[in-house]
Amino acid sequence: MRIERAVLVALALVFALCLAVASTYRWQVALGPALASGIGLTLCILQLALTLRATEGRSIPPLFDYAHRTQFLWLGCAVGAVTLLGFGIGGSIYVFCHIYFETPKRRLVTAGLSAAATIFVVYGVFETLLQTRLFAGLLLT
Amino acid sequence: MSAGLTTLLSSPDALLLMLLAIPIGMVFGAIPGLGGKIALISVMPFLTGMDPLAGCVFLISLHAVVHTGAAAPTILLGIPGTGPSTAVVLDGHAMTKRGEGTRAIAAAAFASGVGGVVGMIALALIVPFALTLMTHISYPEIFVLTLFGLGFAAVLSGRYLVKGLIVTSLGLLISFVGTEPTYGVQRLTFGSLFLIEGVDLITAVLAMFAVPEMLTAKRGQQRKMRVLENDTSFMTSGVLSGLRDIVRHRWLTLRSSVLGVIVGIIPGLGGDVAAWLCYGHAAQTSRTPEKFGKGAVEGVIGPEAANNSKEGGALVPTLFLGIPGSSGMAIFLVALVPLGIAPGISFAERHSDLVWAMVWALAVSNVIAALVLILLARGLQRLAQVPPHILTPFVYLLALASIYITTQEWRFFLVLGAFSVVGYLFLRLDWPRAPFVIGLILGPETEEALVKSLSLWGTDFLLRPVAFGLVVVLLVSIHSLPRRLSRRAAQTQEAMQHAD
Repeated sequence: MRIERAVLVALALVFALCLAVASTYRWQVALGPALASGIGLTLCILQLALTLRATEGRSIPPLFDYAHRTQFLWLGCAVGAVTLLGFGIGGSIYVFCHIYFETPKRRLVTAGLSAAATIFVVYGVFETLLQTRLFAGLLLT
Repeated sequence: MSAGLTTLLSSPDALLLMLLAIPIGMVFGAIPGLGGKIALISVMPFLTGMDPLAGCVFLISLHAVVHTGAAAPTILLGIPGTGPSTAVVLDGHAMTKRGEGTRAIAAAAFASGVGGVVGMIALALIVPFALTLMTHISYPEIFVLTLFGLGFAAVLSGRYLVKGLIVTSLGLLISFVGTEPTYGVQRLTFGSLFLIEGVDLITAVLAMFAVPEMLTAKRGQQRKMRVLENDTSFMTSGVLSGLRDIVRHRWLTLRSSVLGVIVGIIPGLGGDVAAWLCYGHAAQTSRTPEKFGKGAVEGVIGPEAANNSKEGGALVPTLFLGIPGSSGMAIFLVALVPLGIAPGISFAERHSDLVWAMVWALAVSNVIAALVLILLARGLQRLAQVPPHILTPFVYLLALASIYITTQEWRFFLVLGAFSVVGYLFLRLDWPRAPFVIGLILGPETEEALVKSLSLWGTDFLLRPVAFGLVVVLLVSIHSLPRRLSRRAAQTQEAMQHAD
């Protein structure tokens, strides 16, 4: 329940901030954001009141437990590797590490083949066949 | 109309190119981020000097089957191949996780095929009235139509109506980030230059649906699915179940197809709107709306039928008036230039056989693409049997590639990360996520229609005859909504008690 309340408060703050910003625009530009954030803010307050009044909380599974934290870490690794080293190099390194460390028996061949497949798809399929250049990475451009 | 079929069948070049366009279009649809627009742009260099009929048939077939191809990654991996496929991701992928990927793909394929054919028939019936209809539809009517779409968010919220509406408001608010189209004012960008173009739809949908599902994927889940899907009889029944679903929900398929055509005819409302309107319509008319978002086959059938039928509708303003109904049709118009074709009323009058040949090509290519997808369903299903620890890194990379191809901006990777946390929280707290996408898609259309209606007609804009009629229908449906929702909530509660 506490997390739900925290989410509601965070959303209410976002809506309030956007409502304040929208009020500085001319009416044609402000109408949409002001309506959305005004309605959102009102509903957040309403839901917060309902949540506070509720005597019994719904049973919510624990958020950010170990398994999910690990998965978030891998997502962060994917974003970081691709952002810094691009899809070809960063992507293949990430795929190799993810599969190698997440596979119960740490299979080097599976991880290596998956990384090779990534390189083939990035350079062979996207860049050569489809003529679509993917991001090369901040460190390599 | 029959002259169009004769024209199409009498041209071996056109038939050959139609068959060539189908696999190309399906591949462009199946690779997330590419889609119909990039497919059209990619083939434009090859059109110069081509026979106009063959060229037109090639282009329309290519563009028509993209959504059918997009069903595969959407349903199996939870990564929408195209914008309109975002409406299928929730229930299609949930079915895959339940071990019913083949059934979902088959249902999507049959719905696409039926949608294409019904769309063509509806188009043939509507064309004589379409131009009159278009003169009665302006910003006030579009505004009320978008309100219908936003109203579906309430239906999709199920037991959590207030939370669903909060999520819808958040989606609407995010849709307003970026440059305001009429006055060119930067809104809610907080000084970030990369947000000038707004938040990309694909990024938001991936963060709300695909990434949270991968983050919470259980290791045992795929093992169970593998056992189910390796059973041959299950595979056969998967395709047959998909066919049975279409027969069982034939009226939904029909209604969604017709709705798709109508939305396609109205310029400015794209395929995304058509798909989500029909998703909401499917939820509203379903006897089991509580199953939506958890693997309801109607949530696959409605948007898939609309995806394909709206292409037929979009041909009306494009070919008869030279006004593209969507950004895809705008590129389609440009692609017609190398063929020496300039659409408009005079073109439609002088070359009606060519116009109808294109409509026939649209229907035939949809049917062939649906058959191809059904044949490939079993092979494609193997993708979903890959264990999560091997599949997950590829899904993340594909998601990032799809974002980069769509936006050409690496900063959206960070947006994906941030929104994924929100999507994960909504998933774990059991908040409805579909209303977010409805708000995101309908936000710009709703705002533009409202501001232009107020500017042109003042506050009386809702008194226009068609708009007024639509408002009455909307009020009636809103009036009956709480009663229906509470009845459904009671039914769900009763079912849960029985299960206990």
